[in-house]
Amino acid sequence: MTIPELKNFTSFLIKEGNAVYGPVERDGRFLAQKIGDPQELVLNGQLTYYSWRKFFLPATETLFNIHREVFKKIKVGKPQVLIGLTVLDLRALDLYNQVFANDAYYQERKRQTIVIGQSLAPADQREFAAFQDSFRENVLEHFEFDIFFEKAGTSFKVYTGSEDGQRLLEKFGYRDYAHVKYAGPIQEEGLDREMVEIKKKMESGYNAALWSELGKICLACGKCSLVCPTCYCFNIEDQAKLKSGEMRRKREWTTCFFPDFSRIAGDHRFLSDSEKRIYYWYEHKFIRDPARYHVPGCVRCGRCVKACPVGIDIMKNIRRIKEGE
Amino acid sequence: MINNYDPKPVKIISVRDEAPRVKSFVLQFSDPQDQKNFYFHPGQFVMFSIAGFGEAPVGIASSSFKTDTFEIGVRAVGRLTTELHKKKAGDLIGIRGPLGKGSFPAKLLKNRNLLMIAGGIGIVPLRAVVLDAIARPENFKEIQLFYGARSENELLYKPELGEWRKKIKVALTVDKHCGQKCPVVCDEGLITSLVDGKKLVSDPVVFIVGPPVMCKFVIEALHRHKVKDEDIYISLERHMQCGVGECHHCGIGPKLVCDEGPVFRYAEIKGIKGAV
Ligand SMILES: Cc1cc2nc3c(=O)[nH]c(=O)nc-3n(C[C@H](O)[C@H](O)[C@H](O)COP(=O)(O)OP(=O)(O)OC[C@H]3O[C@@H](n4cnc5c(N)ncnc54)[C@H](O)[C@@H]3O)c2cc1C
Ligand code: SF4
Ligand code: SF4
Ligand code: FES
Repeated sequence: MTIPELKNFTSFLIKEGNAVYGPVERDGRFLAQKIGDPQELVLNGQLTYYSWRKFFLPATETLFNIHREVFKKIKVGKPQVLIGLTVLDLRALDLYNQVFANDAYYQERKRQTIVIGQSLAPADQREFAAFQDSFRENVLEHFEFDIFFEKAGTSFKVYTGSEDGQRLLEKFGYRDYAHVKYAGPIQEEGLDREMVEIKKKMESGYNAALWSELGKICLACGKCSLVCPTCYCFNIEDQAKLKSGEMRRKREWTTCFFPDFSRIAGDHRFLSDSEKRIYYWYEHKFIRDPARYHVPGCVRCGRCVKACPVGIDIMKNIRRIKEGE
Repeated sequence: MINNYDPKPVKIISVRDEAPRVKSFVLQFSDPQDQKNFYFHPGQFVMFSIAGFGEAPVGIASSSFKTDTFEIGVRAVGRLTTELHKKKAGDLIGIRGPLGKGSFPAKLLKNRNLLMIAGGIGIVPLRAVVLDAIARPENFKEIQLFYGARSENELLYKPELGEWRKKIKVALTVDKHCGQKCPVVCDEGLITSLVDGKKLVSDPVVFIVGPPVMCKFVIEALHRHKVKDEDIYISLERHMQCGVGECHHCGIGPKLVCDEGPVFRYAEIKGIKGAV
């Protein structure tokens, strides 16, 4: 598909009445925003500053309207088309799909979402310290997506990953695509080797030097978590509605860097300082996610590196964990 | 698709004062089908909720053989639990559960003696085991309960303790005597002194529920009795938001307490940093 064709396809998606979101440039950053004018959409293989999490798990969402102790589940979301998730973002979705496999809200939203991916810019042109093993075609069969654009010279090679994706392209009048059949999140060779290695290293002992050093510089501000595509922790909270007397139960993002995250009765906090919190963050990504969901809890996008005000670099820390020094 | 977040309405059948700021609530699902489906193993928990105030995890205190109602015991420590204490018989609250795949291993107890160690509000889920043992003695061998609280005043289930005492071995301790009468004689001192000072039932399986510090010292005391880590089961308390393995507030190493616990075999978690 050529670039003009891609713009036409985007116009087509908008004209079909879809809410289309994709990367646009704002103040030198790429942000996933609602696309009004297809000219604005930038598919250059760069990562968006924030991850795509909010389209799957909104920063706050209502779970129930409550009236006289009766909990009424709200209808979730509106149909949306997301265009421009990189392979790293798709890998993060693999994780969400596992974590929220039994979550009625996530699944409802997912059903209403068309996911259109793109390949990552080559390493020397990337704005993020993103890390990715070379793009192999068989990688795609382990992602859940509807359409995927692989950069090939000045145009795109088009893949479909679902019938919804095929139907859209057919309706637009584009047939030069290859279909990729989804083969589950885990590759034929078995679990991700790097993931297994890091988990083993972390479980084999507490690297006191590394964690106390990070504990001293980390501000526990949570900015890393805010931009991370694999973070998903949340709180559930009730809200009294103003006039009608109705109430809401909501769920909203939180992070393990916040003081109340681990608080139990008697004001005891299991994560009482920055060292414990940043360790918990890594433990969640490199031990717990792999153990429970069998996919990596960090996709190495480098967003957290860019967001961190004190320059904590997860790629470096992973290296230190692996070297076990 | 089933919505895991949907609280089912339950009616408060009765409320009992147990101790200052602790009340027991006997509950029954409004929908008889929900009540029928509510089958639990002692050690599992529920999320109770009050509209506008939120949700919190609490243990189940009644016998698992009692199927027409169930019971929780709750200490008022904050906003939600204080609101619950204002509720009266006939009021409705919401319940999700039973939750947690990790419960006390009842099957083991057909052939093994049992020692239970409870600190404070930790007696709540262990009461379910005690009542099960009283209801079906043929499923159990010898049973011993060590239960500690701040003072006699703070001991829960006092009117029942005399009855329990007839069926199982009960030893109580309080941090400090307060002068209040108790149907069972009370020592003064830490619960570890019971473990150190009393003769334990022979080769026991041990269930522990209590505040984090207590658990640590109790396990050390059990080691002095040569109890093996494989025979120790412990219920962990963590901050919980979802109760269904999604919010990750309750993580310990590779596990989530709400999903794989709250009861764990100590041997399986002792290597996890910060678990106990
Ligand atoms: C598995 C398990 C079993 C429990 N069983 C019992 C029991 O049988 N009886 C009993 O009285 N208490 C029990 N607790 C503790 C009880 O959940 C807290 O006391 C309660 O959540 C406090 O709520 P609050 O709103 O009144 O307190 P506040 O201090 O006003 O608010 C604390 C808020 O933090 C959140 N929170 C989540 N988990 C916890 C937690 N573990 N401790 C404190 N706050 C938490 C809740 O949203 C709560 O509203 C148990 C906890 C766990 C994890
Ligand atoms: S690199 Fe940082 S932002 Fe990206 S997935 Fe890993 S932890 Fe999250
Ligand atoms: S962004 Fe940096 S300083 Fe802030 S919590 Fe994350 S690691 Fe710590
Ligand atoms: S309470 Fe949410 S994951 Fe355990």
